[in-house]
Amino acid sequence: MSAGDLTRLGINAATRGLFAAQAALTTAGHDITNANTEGFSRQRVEQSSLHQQFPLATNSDRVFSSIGNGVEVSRVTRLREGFLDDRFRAINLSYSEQAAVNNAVREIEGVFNEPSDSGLNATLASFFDAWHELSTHPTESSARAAVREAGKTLARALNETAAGLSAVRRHLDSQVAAATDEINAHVREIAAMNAQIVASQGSGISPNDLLDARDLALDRLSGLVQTNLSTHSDGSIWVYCYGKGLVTGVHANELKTLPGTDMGLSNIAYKGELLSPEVLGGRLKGLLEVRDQIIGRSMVPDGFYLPNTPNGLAYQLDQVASQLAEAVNEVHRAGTNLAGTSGLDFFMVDAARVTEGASLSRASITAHSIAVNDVLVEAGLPGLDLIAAGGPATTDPVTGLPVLPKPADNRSALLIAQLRDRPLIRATFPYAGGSQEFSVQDYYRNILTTLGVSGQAASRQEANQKALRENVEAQRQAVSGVNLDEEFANMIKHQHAYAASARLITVFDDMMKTVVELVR
Amino acid sequence: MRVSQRAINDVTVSNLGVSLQKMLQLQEKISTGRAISRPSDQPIDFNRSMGIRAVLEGNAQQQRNIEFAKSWLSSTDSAIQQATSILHRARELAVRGANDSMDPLARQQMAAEVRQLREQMRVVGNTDLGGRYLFAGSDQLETPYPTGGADLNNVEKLSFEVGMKVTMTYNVPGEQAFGNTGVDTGGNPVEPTNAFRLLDSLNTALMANDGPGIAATLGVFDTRLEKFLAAQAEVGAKVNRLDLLTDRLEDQRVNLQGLKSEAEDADIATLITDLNQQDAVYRASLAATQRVIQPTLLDYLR
Repeated sequence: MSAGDLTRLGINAATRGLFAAQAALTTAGHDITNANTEGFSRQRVEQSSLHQQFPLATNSDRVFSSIGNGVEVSRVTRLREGFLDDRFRAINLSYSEQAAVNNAVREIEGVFNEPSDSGLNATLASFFDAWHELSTHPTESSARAAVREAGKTLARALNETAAGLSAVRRHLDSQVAAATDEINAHVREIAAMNAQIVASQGSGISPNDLLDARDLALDRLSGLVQTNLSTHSDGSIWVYCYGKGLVTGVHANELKTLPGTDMGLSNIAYKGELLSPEVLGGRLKGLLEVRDQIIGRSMVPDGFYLPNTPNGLAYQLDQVASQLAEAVNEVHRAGTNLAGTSGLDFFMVDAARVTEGASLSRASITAHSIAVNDVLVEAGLPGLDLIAAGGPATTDPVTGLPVLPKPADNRSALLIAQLRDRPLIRATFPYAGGSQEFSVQDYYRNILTTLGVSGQAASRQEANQKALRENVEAQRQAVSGVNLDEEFANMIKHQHAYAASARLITVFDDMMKTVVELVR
Repeated sequence: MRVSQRAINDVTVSNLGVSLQKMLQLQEKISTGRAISRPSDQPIDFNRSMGIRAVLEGNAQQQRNIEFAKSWLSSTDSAIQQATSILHRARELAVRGANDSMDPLARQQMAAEVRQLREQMRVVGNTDLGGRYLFAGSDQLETPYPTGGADLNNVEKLSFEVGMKVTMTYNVPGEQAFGNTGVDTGGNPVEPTNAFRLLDSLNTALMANDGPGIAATLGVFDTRLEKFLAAQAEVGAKVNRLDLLTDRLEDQRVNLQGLKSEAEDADIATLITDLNQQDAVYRASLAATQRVIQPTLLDYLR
């Protein structure tokens, strides 16, 4: 070992020092510029001191061999805690579900617009009020006209509310389709990144930023649908939804939306197999639950091809329309109108509002199809006179001939007015205990209360999950987030190291000069 | 715990968001004046408020019904009152006419007045309220005591709702006061003591200068007056009951309004205090944010 060897050794070490400081500075720069990049994990250059590898020729070589050979950049690592990612994703799953439910419930509440002076509740009250007025003023055509108008207003309000619910269902359905598209986009992205990651890891490189990008895609996917991950030794992550492989290695297996028999709303399928909301979880579950459970299907009187959803709002609204119509019709048919006839219904199915060939019988009245009987709506007095305010015709005990009630007879009008407080609809509400019969308005306010209870629960859970998610996110940030102060401090540290290494080269340069001058 | 700039930012933004959201909710309640604007705000209060609304609406309608019935009953009352005075006047004439010292001419003059009274009785029997005849039973559009043709003698009583599931009849069929004016299949009067027939027979007796005949009507007058009195008493009793019901409904309304307001209405004073407090919190967190976000080590390096 000669002095020349040592000098060469010193310059090499100094150069390595320059490189290492540059690498560290560049990494700090990378961190600083990505301080606000979503999903970015801070990176750290790992340095290690290099041991000298000299042939040991002499005893002094042994001494010299303990002189180090400078620094080496062993690798650039990404600071991230997988456990926190798992926590974040699990919380995000239920947060997204509750957020979807909460938003949808608000939309439904908008359709009902209660409590207000113009909602269905007020319209029902006005309807009964109008019959009361007819019961005290049975001979006045203005009272009849008011009954007819109140009937039309009520029917229209029911029609519009039913249409509003259908619109919300369709809107939710389009969100289901959008969420499915989003899932598929992430699934494709993850599969593609898997391929790149497997390739880089094969060649011994740690593709930090690619890993960040994949983790971000997994974060986003975690809110939409339930995911279970399994990490393979080649670096790929396989994504399963309840055992269905969405990402298997480098393959993306997309979810499909298939139009169903119920209003053509989408069902979600994996390789041709339909998946239930419970299997899907997340935002999809929330959306499907509101679409198919909280609102649910409209009433099908004959249990046509799909079972009724008796706990859904659409069905319950239909109950309001059909039970009220049935009770009013029953009294109205028995009553006698000014033309001296009876047997007419007050409410009917509006043929224009149902699909062709559907039943028009009075038993198939729904909120969507209810209308005031055409005959009564006929312009002017003829229609009005057919509103039956009078009671049933009686039989003369002597002659045996039917005796028609006189114009001021108000028995039917009074009976219909009194339907306001008559229990008409049998139902069970979770907080009211047991099956009970409710008046129309009581039933109506209870179905909305049930909706409110679901909405309130979803809203509270959303807030809770949000707080939890923020908490975990803060923990993740504590590990992976960029602290600018720290980076600046590192910058200064490495800048000094760089300057010192450069200085070292000058020193060796001077030494060489001294040696060269000695020779001269 | 390490704190990153992004974490500071996230937490700050999230807290400011929560603060703003609370302010928005308070603002919404204050500007609408309502504590509940949708079922999910307070499901239980919502249910209560809707229930109270339904009862209040029923209450308002019952009050309208009662108002109608009261105007009908008070018209009926004054009509019976008039009929009673007519009968009293006729009875006075009968008392004087029955006096044996009366000469035929005076009795004929009395008879002329009795005929006028009979006509007036018919007019009273045909009293209407807005085109609806008070004493026509359920046939309110037909004149109950026409000048020609048969009287209606419709005895149907009509009901209306005064309270939840409680009904009451509001009309007095003519028969109840004036008596049945019809004739049976044999052509004989069903109720010979009816008011019109009574006046007719007084007229006949006066014209015929038939002292005992005139005296015989006096007993009938008393019977008929009793019937009028009974009818009037029934009307009066109904009006009294309706007055009581109105009071009760009004009390109930005031009560329910209070409950409804309790369930539905925002407590403005509390809300404004809350809003001020929230506003202070919001401003404080903005000020804190300004301090937390700004400085980095960079500010202190050359």
